[in-house]
Amino acid sequence: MAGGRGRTRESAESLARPPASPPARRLRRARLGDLRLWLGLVLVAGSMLVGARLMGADDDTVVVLRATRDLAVGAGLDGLAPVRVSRAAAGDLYLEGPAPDGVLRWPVQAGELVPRSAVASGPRADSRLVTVPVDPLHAPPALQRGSLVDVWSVPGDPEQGEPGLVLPAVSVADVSTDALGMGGELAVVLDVPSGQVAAVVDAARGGEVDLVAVPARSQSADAGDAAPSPSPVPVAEGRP
Amino acid sequence: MIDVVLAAPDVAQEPDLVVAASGCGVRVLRRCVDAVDLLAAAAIDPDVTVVLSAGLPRLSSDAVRGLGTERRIVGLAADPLDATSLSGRGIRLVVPVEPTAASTWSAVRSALSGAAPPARPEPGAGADAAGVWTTGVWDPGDPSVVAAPDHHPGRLVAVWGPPGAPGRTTVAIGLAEALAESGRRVCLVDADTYAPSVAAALGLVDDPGGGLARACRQADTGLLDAPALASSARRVRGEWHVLTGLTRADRWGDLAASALDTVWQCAQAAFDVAVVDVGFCLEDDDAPAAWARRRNAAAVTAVASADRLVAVADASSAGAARLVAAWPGLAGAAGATRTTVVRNRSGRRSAGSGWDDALREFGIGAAVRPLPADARTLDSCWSRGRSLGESARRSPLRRALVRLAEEVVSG
Repeated sequence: MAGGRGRTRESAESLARPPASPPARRLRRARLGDLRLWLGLVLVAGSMLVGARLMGADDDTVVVLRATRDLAVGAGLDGLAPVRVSRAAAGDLYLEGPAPDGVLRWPVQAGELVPRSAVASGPRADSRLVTVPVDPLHAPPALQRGSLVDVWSVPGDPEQGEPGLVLPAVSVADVSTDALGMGGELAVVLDVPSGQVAAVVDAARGGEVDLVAVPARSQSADAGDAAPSPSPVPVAEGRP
Repeated sequence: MIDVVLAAPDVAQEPDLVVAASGCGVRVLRRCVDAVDLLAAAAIDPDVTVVLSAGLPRLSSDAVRGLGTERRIVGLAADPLDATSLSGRGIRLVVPVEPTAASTWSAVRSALSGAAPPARPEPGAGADAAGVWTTGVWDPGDPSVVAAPDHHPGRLVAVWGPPGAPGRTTVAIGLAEALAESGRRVCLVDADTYAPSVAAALGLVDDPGGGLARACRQADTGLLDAPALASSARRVRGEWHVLTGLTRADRWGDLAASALDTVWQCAQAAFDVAVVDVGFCLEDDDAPAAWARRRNAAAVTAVASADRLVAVADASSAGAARLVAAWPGLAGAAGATRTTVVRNRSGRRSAGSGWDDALREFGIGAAVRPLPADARTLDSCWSRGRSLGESARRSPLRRALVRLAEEVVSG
């Protein structure tokens, strides 16, 4: 066969360039050392890591406080639990933890988020609770603990003067329907700044007291800046 | 006056040719719109001359063959690519479309009379070398030798086995691999139209850009030469190439007889050895017409063109009986080609010399070579898509195949 092989060599060399064929693609058994396997694993792990970091960096939630039970006006800020909510929805309207020293200006039901504006910075040192008798017909029908009312004094004798505003936007600390007065009045406990106590007591003694409800929309504004008259400025759209 | 059937619907000059014909001593008997029309018109009169163009719809090399080998056929070429395509489909006389109809007819007449000087483009000149290809008759000769004029045609080894003789593909792969490792440029061709399995055995990924079917399509349009065939083959390892077979056996119609003849020529031109794995059936089945496709054409043409034959038979009594029964068919297709019989899956308990004697009793004088049975090794090769040389180099079966390979191509 040596002669035949030699001739084959010769003829192969006489071809300046033998016609070329592309290489065949063949199936290969999967091996653990296959670069593609490791490349794939790195890709998967890398994308998980990057994805997690990206999601973490884009965390747009905020921890606010929620009441776990019904809280009355004047109650301290205990019984609150942190809850995570979207910052876009919550804005900065709600109390973020930890709970500050302070008391509520209006009642918060269990499950509600605690608005920042509902918290007074602390028990007012100069606040006194004054009980005044009020004819039920001269008080708002929905009068309850936490309501905001203007206190008007109506002199018993019309000649003594016109009705006058004694104190605007006072918080009602309690309403006692049990303690009816001689004329069937309610005993309403008002949270009165100590400097104004004399005026309120005088009004209660000198004539009758009318309580005028402050509309709910303006309560927070009134309570916040203690404006002398109800103002229609809409600020608390996010209130619970 | 020459009687002509004109089949050139894509040539812009065709209406002028019809008008000018009578003035040029030509009578156009019929104008044809496609190859089927042409075959019908030509069948009426075996002497009528056919003038056709490269763009005639459905013109394959089989259709040209259907016109008859004795018929005078002239091809009209608008450019050198047309001329290549026409001559590749077996049309020996090709003339260019001249500026006027009258001069085209005179070119046709001089081509038919043999008066025009042959004009042939230089080897390697592509379709863009319009200056080289001028008026005149172009007789490009055998298209398969253009690629390598000095190349000795390689050997064509057909591996066949009677029905019920497993192992054809294994033997063909083993021979091709052993020959490639001995330094030859080898192409393994899967021409089995019943159970093509070379691609599966070697774990080759499907590749629609290659394969025997693609080579046959190119041959059908006259564009196949040795480099084109090599580009359809895929190199497995070293100088071992594979021309994969049909992806589905029912696509056997893609392999046309006349195209296959060109493929075998080009395979011999491009490679030192072409090993062809053919189907079991060598019956030249009846076809409705000469140009119709036949399922066994691949096996029949390969066996007829081969200069070495390997007949794989099973080393059992049944295997011997089947070989004896199929032998006349092989002899009819192959003629006196030197044949080696492989007694495949031989083992201790198989018949051995008795088997060989049985063949001789029936007048089969071919040399018989045993191949040992090694089901476990072969099973592992097939399951992993690897050849014997890749996964079991030292197995007795592989060593026997290397010896067989040298013996088959020697001399």
